[in-house]
Amino acid sequence: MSSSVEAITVLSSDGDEFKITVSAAKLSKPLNWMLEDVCFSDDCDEVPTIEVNSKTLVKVIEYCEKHAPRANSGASDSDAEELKKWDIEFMKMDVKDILFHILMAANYLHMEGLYDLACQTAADLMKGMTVSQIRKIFHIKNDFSSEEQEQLRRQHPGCSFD
Amino acid sequence: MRRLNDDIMLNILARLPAESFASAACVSKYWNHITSQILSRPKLASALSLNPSLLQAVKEVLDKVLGKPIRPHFAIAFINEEYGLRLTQTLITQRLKNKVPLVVHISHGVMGKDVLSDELREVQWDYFDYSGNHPRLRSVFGNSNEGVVLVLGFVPGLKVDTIPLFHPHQDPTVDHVDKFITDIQAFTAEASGHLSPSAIMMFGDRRSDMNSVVAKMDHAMPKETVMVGDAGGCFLFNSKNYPITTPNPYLLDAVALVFADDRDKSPDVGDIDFHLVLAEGLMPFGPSFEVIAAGMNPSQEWSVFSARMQGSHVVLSSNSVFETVLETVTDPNYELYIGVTQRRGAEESLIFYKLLVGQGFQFIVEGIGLAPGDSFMFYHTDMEATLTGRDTAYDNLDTLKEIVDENEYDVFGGLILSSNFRGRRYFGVENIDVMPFVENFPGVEVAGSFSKGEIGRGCSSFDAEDEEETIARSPLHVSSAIYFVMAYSPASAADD
Repeated sequence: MSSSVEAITVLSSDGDEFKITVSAAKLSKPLNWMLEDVCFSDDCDEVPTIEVNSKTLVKVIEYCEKHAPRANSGASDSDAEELKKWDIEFMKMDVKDILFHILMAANYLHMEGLYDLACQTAADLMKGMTVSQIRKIFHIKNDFSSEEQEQLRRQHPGCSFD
Repeated sequence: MRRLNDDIMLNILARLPAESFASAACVSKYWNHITSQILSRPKLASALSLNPSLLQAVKEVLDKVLGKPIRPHFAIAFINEEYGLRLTQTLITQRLKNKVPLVVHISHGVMGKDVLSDELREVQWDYFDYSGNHPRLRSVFGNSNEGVVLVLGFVPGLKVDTIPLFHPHQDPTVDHVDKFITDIQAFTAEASGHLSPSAIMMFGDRRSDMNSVVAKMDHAMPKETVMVGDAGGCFLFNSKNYPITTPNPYLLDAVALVFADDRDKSPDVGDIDFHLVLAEGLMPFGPSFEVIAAGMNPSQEWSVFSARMQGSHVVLSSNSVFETVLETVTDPNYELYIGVTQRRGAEESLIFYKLLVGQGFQFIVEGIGLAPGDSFMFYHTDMEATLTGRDTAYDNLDTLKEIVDENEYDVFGGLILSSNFRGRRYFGVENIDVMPFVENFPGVEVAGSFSKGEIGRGCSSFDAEDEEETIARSPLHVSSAIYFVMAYSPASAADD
């Protein structure tokens, strides 16, 4: 692998170009493979496309760049503390617009850390919420009939629906 | 908007605490489908807290067991505080809602995973109030809780409910034990369409004569019904269907948590099997004797009797018994029992009575029910016998594990009921009784209690040969440890 390559260019599904550093790309297996392909091939004209939209890819790359130093070298506990706080701030995002896409992107890009973080964030959003509040947060339509609804109420006596 | 795929949804919803998990199941058909995939197998969740504030301790164990997805079908809490019985019941009921069958039982100690350290602990109370009706004064000042263990179970394919046994003076015209058995059978028949419960967990009041109750149940219940429990505590309960409020715990002799097959279970739900492994701790000594006269004190707490050696006319003297004890018994702190074979009609039971005192030609034992003609042997607690019994239980659990592995069953939980005579006080170290389970089933949820009178009845399939013997069975043990093992065979395997 050529050590001169410090960053690669990728395309989002919307066709926008993004730069991602080599060390950051190593957080994702598919990106890492792409990286190796790019570095080993002689003609670097072809820019690989990542099936993630631009808005999401910005966030994914932001996450990668932040976490890359620690992932590659290991870090002290105080760094880990700081990173945790950063993660919490980072995940403050709209559920429908970004969080869903981050979940799918992290899953698709095999990014364990981000996937875990995003799943936990989604789960935390539901804690203490009623059924209809959860539907609202996650933009889900109630597709139960009124009879089924009644049955659910009996099955889950502890649930608050409204 | 694209829908999140199953993997992502499974990952997210599996992280929810039980209460949010229940809400998630009601969001949409798709979410409901995902939640049922997460909880497709039976599950046991348990936690132990040693927080000196009972209020805090109960909150801690509730938070722990409800921290992950579970749909509680039953709940059992073991506590030490007589004063805290009602409080514990209220706190748990508030969180679980009324509909979950619940037993809160004051026992002599608890076993389980500590919420703070995540380590398995066996804890026996420093002090236990045998006196009865008076709440301990120091309880009033709070902070005297010694421990709580809470067990929640999710058992799809079974119907579970609590069924009480009332004290006879409620209605002296009815034989209360017969009614109790009928109630259990009625519940089972309605749930399963047959009369054999899969298992019965029994919790007895220490002031009641559980020997006769358990013996009667032993004969009334089919052989395949596993029975387990603590005969000597004090309890409160909630019931799902039984329309009853319990104003006073002392009107109750016992409560049974009954597990019956659900005849409406869906075909993709597998079968839950209960197994029982016993670690005995008593050693018989001397020849067989025969009761020649017996009576009891007016409040029916103890019996006095005289006996003679079988086939002899010489009345047994306490001196000769205690001489033998001096020669035979090696434990520094031993207890003496008589194991009585009682024939009542066509039925035969082995019942243990603790020997309290012997003077001249009379002996006094705890409990009632002795009759002239009963034959018995003396027993003593014995370290060597106890350790051998534990090794045997270890081997039997190992055999069970082999069977389970061979059939691709899945052991999902265990409950241990160990005599308060055992534990750290007897062995000198903690966790002697939990280890046989933990080593054979590492990682499997396990909790338990120290009891006075361990109910254990029913054999695992592997020691079927033993059942052929016609010797009297004892469903109520002393100085023993009982391992109640819950296994699941998934639907595909169960079809063969």
